[in-house]
Amino acid sequence: MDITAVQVWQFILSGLTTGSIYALIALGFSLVYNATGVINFAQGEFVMLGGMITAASMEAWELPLWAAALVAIVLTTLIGLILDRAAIRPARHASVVVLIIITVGASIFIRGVAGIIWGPDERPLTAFSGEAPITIWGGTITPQSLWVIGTTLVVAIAMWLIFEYTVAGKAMRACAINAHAAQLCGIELSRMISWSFGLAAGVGAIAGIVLAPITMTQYNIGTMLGLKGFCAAILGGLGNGLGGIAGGLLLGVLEALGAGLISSQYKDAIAFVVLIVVLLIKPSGLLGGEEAEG
Amino acid sequence: MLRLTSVDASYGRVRALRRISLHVDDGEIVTLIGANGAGKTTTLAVISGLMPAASGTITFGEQTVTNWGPSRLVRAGICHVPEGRQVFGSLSVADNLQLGAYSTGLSRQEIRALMREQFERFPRLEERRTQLAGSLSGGEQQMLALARGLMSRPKLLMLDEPSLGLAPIIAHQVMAEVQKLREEGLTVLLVEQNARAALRIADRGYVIETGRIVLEGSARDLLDNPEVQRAYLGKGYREIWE
Repeated sequence: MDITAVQVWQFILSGLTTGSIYALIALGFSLVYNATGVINFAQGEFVMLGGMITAASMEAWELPLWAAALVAIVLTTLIGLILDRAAIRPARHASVVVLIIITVGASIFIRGVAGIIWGPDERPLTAFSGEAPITIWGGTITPQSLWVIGTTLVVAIAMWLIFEYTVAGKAMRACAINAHAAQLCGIELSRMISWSFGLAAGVGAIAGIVLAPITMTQYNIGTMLGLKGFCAAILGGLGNGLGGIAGGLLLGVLEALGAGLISSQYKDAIAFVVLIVVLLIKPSGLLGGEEAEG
Repeated sequence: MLRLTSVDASYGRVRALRRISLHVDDGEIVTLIGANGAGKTTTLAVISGLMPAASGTITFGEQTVTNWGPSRLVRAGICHVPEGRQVFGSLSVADNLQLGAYSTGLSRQEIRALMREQFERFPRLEERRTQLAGSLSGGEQQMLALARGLMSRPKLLMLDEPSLGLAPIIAHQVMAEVQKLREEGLTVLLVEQNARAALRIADRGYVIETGRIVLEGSARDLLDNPEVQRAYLGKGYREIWE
């Protein structure tokens, strides 16, 4: 098999697209992890909800795409807040492992309800700005891929602004650094945890919406996406936002290269091989530092 | 200003505090001395709402504040500067101060004015305002922790081991700062292992042992008390050996 530089470039381009999605999901994991120390295995379901609610509300109420997307983001954020209120907060004195298992349960529950409401059919979402591929240095990329990459960039910048410049963002960071001292400053831990779940759900929904035109959406896509995003978060250092984004992009590119150069059959395996290698060699992640400790 | 009456608290099944009663009057410096694990930090944690009181009552001013949440107590005017400083290491000095005023609901401008006050008090902090708090020296971190606490505009300041791990000269400065704060009208509850330094600036003191108050009195009396001298001031060994 002859591999040309253009082909490799093509793999990288498509890798960056899926990688962007992983990056957004990893961001969601980090948000909740920083606030609670919990790995929220329902993060993938937020992604599914984003796509499904958009598709369903376009279908049911004939909303334009932007309105349907807005509905999806708002509803998913609400579901994130409800998850915190109904399942996490009542058990807040339980150990982290118990809370993680609660999120696994919540994930199964959300998936089940989605399956009942929307059935097992895949739903398409039309691409936001047509299908005509764009050529960049000999590789082609669809406009939707640019949407995905651009959205990830915008969300990452927005997150950075929030955590660097707003009091609420700094308060959330303070809770992650030292919850004890943050409380003594009058910061309400439970409120920060709520916000982190809300933000994580919103970011997840955004990922699901921009992804849907590429892969179609279905009630059960959340599991695998969640696990991939989790791998990305571990790769970049759990709790490290920038690391998660880097981890996501790297994972996407590795997957695409592996699928292209070795065999597409191993595409999913690559993420988990990477995960195992990282956990064995550098469990704090490639960019993991002191803030990412468990 | 603050009164604890028969307060009990426990970690799981381990009773940490047994019927603790103490009070701090307006404008006083009161110190709580005792060995490691005697319950000093736990007492502060119960007052600041980090730990529930199993029984007993805590009043602050006119209000009964037993088992209020920490943020409500901060708003009421109780500030707890925790042991080991606990500044937010990966945030800047200015951000740490800003978060100190988190619960006050003050405007941006008022917070800035309050920050100015802290910088006048601790000029070192102004020099380092954009640095990460984690990069400061131990003494500077203690000043930051104190300044962060003052940003909440407290009536009662509770300091947990403010001189721990500091060079004697820095520890001395911290104690001098505490005295200055009292002159400015703050009431102080001071927890210290360095009993001598604490009793020198305090009006009254309590001695706590295994979760119980075993002795109380004016700072003068405690300094002269042979039991206190033997156990906490390191005096009397010579007499024993000679």
